[in-house]
Amino acid sequence: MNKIAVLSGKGGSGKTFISTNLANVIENSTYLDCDVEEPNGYIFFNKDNSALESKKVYREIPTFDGDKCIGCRECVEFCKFSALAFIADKPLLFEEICHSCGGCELVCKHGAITNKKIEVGSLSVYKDKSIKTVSGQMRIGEASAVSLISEVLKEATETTIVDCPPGSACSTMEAIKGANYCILVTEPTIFSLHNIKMIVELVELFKIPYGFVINKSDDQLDYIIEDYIKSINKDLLMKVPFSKQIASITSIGKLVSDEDLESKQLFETLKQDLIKRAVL
Amino acid sequence: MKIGLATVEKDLEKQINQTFGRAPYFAIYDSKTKKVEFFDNDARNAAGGAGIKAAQFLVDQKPEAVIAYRMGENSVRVLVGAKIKLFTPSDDKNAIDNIELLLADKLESLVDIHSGYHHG
Repeated sequence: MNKIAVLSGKGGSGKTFISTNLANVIENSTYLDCDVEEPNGYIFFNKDNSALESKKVYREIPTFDGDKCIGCRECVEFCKFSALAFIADKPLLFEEICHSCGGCELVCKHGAITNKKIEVGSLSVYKDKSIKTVSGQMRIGEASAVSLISEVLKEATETTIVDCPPGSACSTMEAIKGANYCILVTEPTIFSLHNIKMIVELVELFKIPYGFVINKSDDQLDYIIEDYIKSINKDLLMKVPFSKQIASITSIGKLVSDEDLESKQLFETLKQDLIKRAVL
Repeated sequence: MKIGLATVEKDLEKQINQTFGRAPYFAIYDSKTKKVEFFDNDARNAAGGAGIKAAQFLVDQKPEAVIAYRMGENSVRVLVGAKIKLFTPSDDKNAIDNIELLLADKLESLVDIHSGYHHG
Protein backbone atom coordinates (compact mmCIF):
# COMPACT_ATOMS: atom_id res chain seq x y z
CA MET A 1 0.00 0.00 0.00
CA ASN A 2 1.43 3.39 -1.00
CA LYS A 3 0.49 6.49 0.91
CA ILE A 4 2.02 9.82 -0.06
CA ALA A 5 1.46 12.79 2.25
CA VAL A 6 1.59 16.31 0.88
CA LEU A 7 2.60 18.92 3.47
CA SER A 8 3.63 22.52 3.77
CA GLY A 9 4.72 24.75 6.59
CA LYS A 10 2.19 27.43 5.77
CA GLY A 11 -1.31 27.64 4.36
CA GLY A 12 -1.64 28.68 0.73
CA SER A 13 1.61 27.05 -0.43
CA GLY A 14 -0.22 24.70 -2.76
CA LYS A 15 -0.82 21.41 -0.91
CA THR A 16 -4.25 20.95 -2.42
CA PHE A 17 -3.02 22.04 -5.86
CA ILE A 18 -0.19 19.48 -5.81
CA SER A 19 -2.16 16.64 -4.23
CA THR A 20 -5.28 16.92 -6.41
CA ASN A 21 -3.28 17.12 -9.63
CA LEU A 22 -1.00 14.27 -8.59
CA ALA A 23 -3.98 12.08 -7.69
CA ASN A 24 -5.53 13.03 -11.03
CA VAL A 25 -2.67 11.54 -13.07
CA ILE A 26 -2.68 8.27 -11.10
CA GLU A 27 -5.36 5.82 -12.13
CA ASN A 28 -7.54 4.38 -9.38
CA SER A 29 -5.95 6.56 -6.73
CA THR A 30 -7.60 7.84 -3.57
CA TYR A 31 -7.39 11.48 -2.56
CA LEU A 32 -7.87 12.08 1.18
CA ASP A 33 -8.49 15.66 2.21
CA CYS A 34 -7.21 15.85 5.79
CA ASP A 35 -7.19 19.64 5.82
CA VAL A 36 -10.44 19.27 7.72
CA GLU A 37 -10.67 22.86 8.93
CA GLU A 38 -11.12 24.03 5.38
CA PRO A 39 -11.37 21.09 2.99
CA ASN A 40 -11.70 22.18 -0.63
CA GLY A 41 -10.00 19.43 -2.62
CA TYR A 42 -13.33 17.77 -3.43
CA ILE A 43 -14.25 20.78 -5.57
CA PHE A 44 -11.72 19.67 -8.18
CA PHE A 45 -13.04 16.13 -8.51
CA ASN A 46 -16.68 16.32 -7.69
CA LYS A 47 -18.38 17.86 -10.66
CA ASP A 48 -21.99 17.41 -9.57
CA ASN A 49 -21.30 18.11 -5.88
CA SER A 50 -22.98 14.98 -4.59
CA ALA A 51 -21.35 12.65 -2.12
CA LEU A 52 -21.73 8.89 -2.49
CA GLU A 53 -21.97 8.68 1.25
CA SER A 54 -21.66 10.99 4.21
CA LYS A 55 -21.40 10.16 7.87
CA LYS A 56 -20.87 11.92 11.15
CA VAL A 57 -17.69 11.31 13.13
CA TYR A 58 -17.62 11.30 16.92
CA ARG A 59 -15.13 11.31 19.73
CA GLU A 60 -15.64 10.34 23.34
CA ILE A 61 -15.39 12.62 26.34
CA PRO A 62 -15.88 11.76 30.03
CA THR A 63 -19.00 12.47 32.06
CA PHE A 64 -19.07 12.28 35.85
CA ASP A 65 -21.50 10.64 38.21
CA GLY A 66 -21.75 12.99 41.20
CA ASP A 67 -23.07 10.22 43.48
CA LYS A 68 -20.11 7.90 42.81
CA CYS A 69 -17.37 10.58 42.76
CA ILE A 70 -15.63 10.80 46.13
CA GLY A 71 -13.50 13.77 45.14
CA CYS A 72 -10.15 11.92 45.17
CA ARG A 73 -8.98 13.92 42.12
CA GLU A 74 -7.15 10.94 40.60
CA CYS A 75 -8.62 11.88 37.22
CA VAL A 76 -7.65 15.56 37.54
CA GLU A 77 -4.07 14.67 38.49
CA PHE A 78 -3.85 12.13 35.69
CA CYS A 79 -4.88 14.44 32.85
CA LYS A 80 -1.65 15.77 31.41
CA PHE A 81 -3.55 18.16 29.17
CA SER A 82 -5.14 19.80 32.24
CA ALA A 83 -8.55 19.30 30.70
CA LEU A 84 -10.02 18.63 34.14
CA ALA A 85 -10.39 20.91 37.12
CA PHE A 86 -11.96 20.13 40.48
CA ILE A 87 -14.24 22.87 41.72
CA ALA A 88 -17.36 23.07 43.84
CA ASP A 89 -16.75 19.45 44.90
CA LYS A 90 -16.92 17.97 41.42
CA PRO A 91 -14.71 17.50 38.34
CA LEU A 92 -15.16 20.08 35.60
CA LEU A 93 -14.28 19.09 32.03
CA PHE A 94 -12.91 21.46 29.39
CA GLU A 95 -14.17 19.67 26.29
CA GLU A 96 -11.99 21.52 23.82
CA ILE A 97 -8.82 20.61 25.72
CA CYS A 98 -9.78 16.94 26.26
CA HIS A 99 -7.86 14.67 23.87
CA SER A 100 -10.33 11.79 24.29
CA CYS A 101 -7.58 9.48 25.57
CA GLY A 102 -9.90 7.72 28.02
CA GLY A 103 -7.25 7.79 30.76
CA CYS A 104 -9.46 9.46 33.38
CA GLU A 105 -11.98 6.66 33.09
CA LEU A 106 -9.22 4.07 33.58
CA VAL A 107 -7.77 5.69 36.70
CA CYS A 108 -11.15 6.23 38.42
CA LYS A 109 -11.46 3.50 41.07
CA HIS A 110 -15.05 4.41 41.87
CA GLY A 111 -16.70 3.93 38.50
CA ALA A 112 -17.76 7.57 38.48
CA ILE A 113 -16.66 8.21 34.91
CA THR A 114 -18.44 7.06 31.77
CA ASN A 115 -17.97 8.28 28.22
CA LYS A 116 -20.31 10.13 25.96
CA LYS A 117 -19.96 10.80 22.25
CA ILE A 118 -19.66 14.27 20.84
CA GLU A 119 -19.66 15.13 17.14
CA VAL A 120 -16.25 16.11 15.72
CA GLY A 121 -17.38 16.61 12.15
CA SER A 122 -18.35 14.66 9.09
CA LEU A 123 -16.74 12.55 6.41
CA SER A 124 -17.89 12.46 2.79
CA VAL A 125 -16.90 10.10 -0.01
CA TYR A 126 -17.05 11.14 -3.67
CA LYS A 127 -16.18 9.31 -6.86
CA ASP A 128 -15.12 11.04 -10.04
CA LYS A 129 -13.59 9.22 -13.00
CA SER A 130 -11.42 6.57 -11.37
CA ILE A 131 -10.51 8.67 -8.35
CA LYS A 132 -12.02 8.20 -4.93
CA THR A 133 -12.18 11.42 -2.93
CA VAL A 134 -12.69 11.48 0.82
CA SER A 135 -13.17 14.74 2.60
CA GLY A 136 -13.30 15.42 6.32
CA GLN A 137 -15.15 18.50 7.52
CA MET A 138 -14.69 19.60 11.10
CA ARG A 139 -17.68 20.78 13.12
CA ILE A 140 -17.56 24.52 13.76
CA GLY A 141 -16.47 25.03 17.36
CA GLU A 142 -14.57 21.75 17.60
CA ALA A 143 -10.94 22.32 18.61
CA SER A 144 -9.17 19.07 17.77
CA ALA A 145 -9.02 17.60 14.27
CA VAL A 146 -7.11 14.46 15.26
CA SER A 147 -9.96 11.97 15.65
CA LEU A 148 -11.59 13.12 12.42
CA ILE A 149 -8.33 12.83 10.46
CA SER A 150 -7.78 9.37 11.86
CA GLU A 151 -11.22 8.40 10.52
CA VAL A 152 -10.50 9.88 7.07
CA LEU A 153 -7.22 7.92 6.89
CA LYS A 154 -9.15 4.64 7.27
CA GLU A 155 -10.46 5.25 3.74
CA ALA A 156 -6.99 4.77 2.22
CA THR A 157 -6.66 2.32 -0.68
CA GLU A 158 -3.74 0.79 -2.59
CA THR A 159 -2.55 4.21 -3.80
CA THR A 160 -3.43 7.18 -1.64
CA ILE A 161 -2.53 10.87 -1.71
CA VAL A 162 -3.04 12.63 1.63
CA ASP A 163 -3.66 16.39 1.55
CA CYS A 164 -2.42 17.41 5.03
CA PRO A 165 -3.40 20.33 7.24
CA PRO A 166 -0.92 23.24 7.16
CA GLY A 167 1.78 23.57 9.80
CA SER A 168 3.39 20.94 12.01
CA ALA A 169 0.95 20.57 14.89
CA CYS A 170 -0.95 17.49 16.17
CA SER A 171 -3.34 17.35 13.21
CA THR A 172 -0.45 17.24 10.72
CA MET A 173 1.28 14.53 12.75
CA GLU A 174 -1.89 12.47 12.59
CA ALA A 175 -2.25 12.99 8.84
CA ILE A 176 1.26 11.72 8.00
CA LYS A 177 0.91 8.56 10.09
CA GLY A 178 1.56 5.52 7.92
CA ALA A 179 2.79 7.56 4.96
CA ASN A 180 5.70 6.03 3.05
CA TYR A 181 6.74 9.31 1.42
CA CYS A 182 6.19 13.02 2.05
CA ILE A 183 6.09 15.80 -0.52
CA LEU A 184 7.00 19.14 1.07
CA VAL A 185 5.43 22.03 -0.82
CA THR A 186 7.25 25.35 -0.59
CA GLU A 187 7.23 28.81 -2.13
CA PRO A 188 10.45 30.72 -2.86
CA THR A 189 10.04 33.07 0.10
CA ILE A 190 11.86 33.51 3.42
CA PHE A 191 8.58 32.85 5.23
CA SER A 192 8.06 29.55 3.45
CA LEU A 193 11.69 28.56 4.12
CA HIS A 194 11.28 29.25 7.82
CA ASN A 195 8.13 27.14 8.04
CA ILE A 196 9.33 24.25 5.91
CA LYS A 197 12.27 23.75 8.27
CA MET A 198 9.75 22.87 10.98
CA ILE A 199 8.11 20.36 8.63
CA VAL A 200 11.52 18.82 7.92
CA GLU A 201 12.03 18.38 11.67
CA LEU A 202 8.64 16.66 11.86
CA VAL A 203 9.14 14.20 9.00
CA GLU A 204 12.68 13.43 10.21
CA LEU A 205 11.17 12.59 13.59
CA PHE A 206 8.74 10.20 11.90
CA LYS A 207 11.62 8.81 9.76
CA ILE A 208 9.59 9.19 6.55
CA PRO A 209 11.58 9.85 3.33
CA TYR A 210 10.73 13.15 1.65
CA GLY A 211 11.38 15.51 -1.24
CA PHE A 212 10.50 19.09 -2.10
CA VAL A 213 8.32 20.94 -4.56
CA ILE A 214 8.75 24.64 -5.26
CA ASN A 215 5.38 26.10 -6.16
CA LYS A 216 5.04 29.60 -7.69
CA SER A 217 8.64 29.18 -8.80
CA ASP A 218 10.63 32.30 -9.69
CA ASP A 219 14.12 32.09 -11.28
CA GLN A 220 15.33 35.04 -9.24
CA LEU A 221 14.10 33.67 -5.91
CA ASP A 222 14.18 29.87 -6.08
CA TYR A 223 17.69 29.87 -4.56
CA ILE A 224 16.04 30.60 -1.17
CA ILE A 225 14.64 27.08 -1.11
CA GLU A 226 17.17 25.39 -3.42
CA ASP A 227 20.18 26.37 -1.29
CA TYR A 228 18.45 24.91 1.74
CA ILE A 229 17.53 21.65 -0.02
CA LYS A 230 21.16 21.26 -1.15
CA SER A 231 22.43 22.01 2.34
CA ILE A 232 20.47 19.10 3.80
CA ASN A 233 21.24 16.82 0.86
CA LYS A 234 17.67 16.22 -0.26
CA ASP A 235 15.96 16.26 -3.65
CA LEU A 236 13.88 18.85 -5.42
CA LEU A 237 11.12 16.87 -7.13
CA MET A 238 9.43 19.55 -9.16
CA LYS A 239 9.06 23.27 -9.80
CA VAL A 240 5.68 24.70 -10.71
CA PRO A 241 5.94 28.04 -12.52
CA PHE A 242 4.22 31.13 -11.11
CA SER A 243 1.76 31.45 -13.97
CA LYS A 244 -1.50 33.24 -14.57
CA GLN A 245 -2.70 30.33 -16.71
CA ILE A 246 -2.37 27.89 -13.78
CA ALA A 247 -4.04 30.30 -11.36
CA SER A 248 -6.95 30.91 -13.76
CA ILE A 249 -7.65 27.22 -14.30
CA THR A 250 -7.44 26.46 -10.58
CA SER A 251 -9.65 29.40 -9.63
CA ILE A 252 -12.59 27.98 -11.58
CA GLY A 253 -12.32 24.60 -9.86
CA LYS A 254 -10.51 22.76 -12.65
CA LEU A 255 -7.36 20.68 -12.62
CA VAL A 256 -4.35 21.93 -14.58
CA SER A 257 -3.43 18.30 -15.26
CA ASP A 258 -6.66 18.10 -17.30
CA GLU A 259 -6.67 21.54 -18.86
CA ASP A 260 -3.07 22.46 -19.54
CA LEU A 261 -0.68 20.21 -21.46
CA GLU A 262 2.52 21.60 -19.95
CA SER A 263 1.16 21.17 -16.43
CA LYS A 264 -0.05 17.67 -17.20
CA GLN A 265 3.52 16.85 -18.30
CA LEU A 266 4.87 18.25 -15.01
CA PHE A 267 2.65 15.99 -12.94
CA GLU A 268 3.31 12.97 -15.16
CA THR A 269 7.02 13.54 -14.59
CA LEU A 270 6.46 13.80 -10.84
CA LYS A 271 4.52 10.54 -10.94
CA GLN A 272 7.33 8.78 -12.86
CA ASP A 273 9.85 10.16 -10.37
CA LEU A 274 7.85 8.76 -7.45
CA ILE A 275 7.55 5.39 -9.20
CA LYS A 276 11.36 5.36 -9.62
CA ARG A 277 11.70 6.06 -5.93
CA ALA A 278 9.51 2.99 -5.36
CA VAL A 279 7.00 4.95 -3.31
CA LEU A 280 4.23 4.77 -5.90
CA MET B 1 -10.30 37.85 53.53
CA LYS B 2 -7.82 35.90 51.41
CA ILE B 3 -6.71 37.44 48.13
CA GLY B 4 -4.85 35.66 45.34
CA LEU B 5 -2.64 37.23 42.69
CA ALA B 6 0.10 36.43 40.20
CA THR B 7 3.33 38.27 40.93
CA VAL B 8 6.51 39.15 39.07
CA GLU B 9 8.64 38.37 42.11
CA LYS B 10 8.14 36.97 45.60
CA ASP B 11 7.64 40.52 46.84
CA LEU B 12 4.37 42.44 47.19
CA GLU B 13 6.23 45.74 46.73
CA LYS B 14 6.72 44.62 43.11
CA GLN B 15 4.12 44.53 40.33
CA ILE B 16 1.33 42.09 39.68
CA ASN B 17 2.30 39.88 36.71
CA GLN B 18 0.78 40.95 33.37
CA THR B 19 -0.37 37.42 32.55
CA PHE B 20 -2.01 34.82 34.76
CA GLY B 21 -1.65 31.15 33.81
CA ARG B 22 2.06 31.25 33.06
CA ALA B 23 3.05 33.81 35.70
CA PRO B 24 6.21 32.95 37.69
CA TYR B 25 4.65 33.18 41.17
CA PHE B 26 1.36 33.29 42.98
CA ALA B 27 0.76 35.11 46.25
CA ILE B 28 -1.99 34.49 48.77
CA TYR B 29 -2.51 37.43 51.09
CA ASP B 30 -4.62 37.15 54.24
CA SER B 31 -6.01 40.52 55.33
CA LYS B 32 -6.83 39.22 58.81
CA THR B 33 -3.28 38.20 59.67
CA LYS B 34 -1.68 40.58 57.13
CA LYS B 35 0.54 37.68 56.11
CA VAL B 36 1.48 36.64 52.60
CA GLU B 37 2.53 33.29 51.24
CA PHE B 38 4.30 32.90 47.87
CA PHE B 39 4.21 29.85 45.63
CA ASP B 40 6.12 28.89 42.47
CA ASN B 41 3.63 28.47 39.65
CA ASP B 42 4.07 24.86 38.52
CA ALA B 43 1.53 25.36 35.73
CA ARG B 44 3.85 27.81 34.00
CA ASN B 45 5.64 25.08 32.02
CA ALA B 46 2.56 22.99 31.21
CA ALA B 47 2.30 22.03 27.54
CA GLY B 48 -1.35 22.95 27.51
CA GLY B 49 -4.08 23.92 29.93
CA ALA B 50 -1.76 26.15 32.00
CA GLY B 51 -4.61 28.51 32.84
CA ILE B 52 -6.78 25.70 34.18
CA LYS B 53 -3.95 24.24 36.26
CA ALA B 54 -2.98 27.65 37.65
CA ALA B 55 -6.59 28.52 38.47
CA GLN B 56 -7.03 25.14 40.15
CA PHE B 57 -4.03 25.85 42.34
CA LEU B 58 -5.51 29.17 43.42
CA VAL B 59 -8.96 27.65 44.02
CA ASP B 60 -7.36 25.15 46.38
CA GLN B 61 -5.89 28.03 48.44
CA LYS B 62 -9.50 29.20 48.91
CA PRO B 63 -9.17 32.93 48.30
CA GLU B 64 -12.33 35.05 48.09
CA ALA B 65 -10.89 37.33 45.41
CA VAL B 66 -8.22 37.27 42.70
CA ILE B 67 -6.61 40.37 41.18
CA ALA B 68 -5.34 40.01 37.60
CA TYR B 69 -4.68 42.29 34.62
CA ARG B 70 -6.08 39.76 32.17
CA MET B 71 -7.05 36.13 32.19
CA GLY B 72 -7.89 33.36 29.73
CA GLU B 73 -11.49 32.20 29.58
CA ASN B 74 -10.64 28.75 30.96
CA SER B 75 -9.02 30.23 34.07
CA VAL B 76 -12.07 32.43 34.50
CA ARG B 77 -14.38 29.41 34.26
CA VAL B 78 -12.50 27.61 37.02
CA LEU B 79 -12.29 30.61 39.35
CA VAL B 80 -15.85 31.79 38.80
CA GLY B 81 -17.02 28.18 39.18
CA ALA B 82 -15.44 28.25 42.63
CA LYS B 83 -17.29 31.53 43.32
CA ILE B 84 -14.09 33.60 43.48
CA LYS B 85 -14.50 37.28 42.56
CA LEU B 86 -12.12 38.70 39.94
CA PHE B 87 -10.74 42.25 39.92
CA THR B 88 -8.62 44.44 37.65
CA PRO B 89 -5.61 46.11 39.32
CA SER B 90 -4.81 49.78 39.10
CA ASP B 91 -2.03 50.12 36.52
CA ASP B 92 0.45 52.36 38.33
CA LYS B 93 0.27 50.55 41.67
CA ASN B 94 2.32 47.65 42.98
CA ALA B 95 0.83 44.43 44.36
CA ILE B 96 0.37 45.47 47.99
CA ASP B 97 -1.18 48.83 47.04
CA ASN B 98 -3.64 47.01 44.80
CA ILE B 99 -4.54 44.73 47.69
CA GLU B 100 -5.21 47.81 49.81
CA LEU B 101 -7.38 49.26 47.02
CA LEU B 102 -9.36 46.03 46.82
CA LEU B 103 -9.91 46.00 50.59
CA ALA B 104 -11.12 49.61 50.31
CA ASP B 105 -13.56 48.44 47.63
CA LYS B 106 -11.86 50.58 44.99
CA LEU B 107 -11.06 48.04 42.27
CA GLU B 108 -13.19 47.34 39.20
CA SER B 109 -14.22 43.83 38.14
CA LEU B 110 -11.97 41.99 35.66
CA VAL B 111 -12.92 42.78 32.06
CA ASP B 112 -9.92 41.67 30.02
CA ILE B 113 -10.84 38.04 29.36
CA HIS B 114 -9.19 36.53 26.29
CA SER B 115 -9.64 33.22 24.51
CA GLY B 116 -6.13 32.08 25.40
CA TYR B 117 -2.74 32.31 23.72
CA HIS B 118 -2.86 28.78 22.32
CA HIS B 119 -1.30 27.53 19.17
CA GLY B 120 -0.95 24.20 17.43
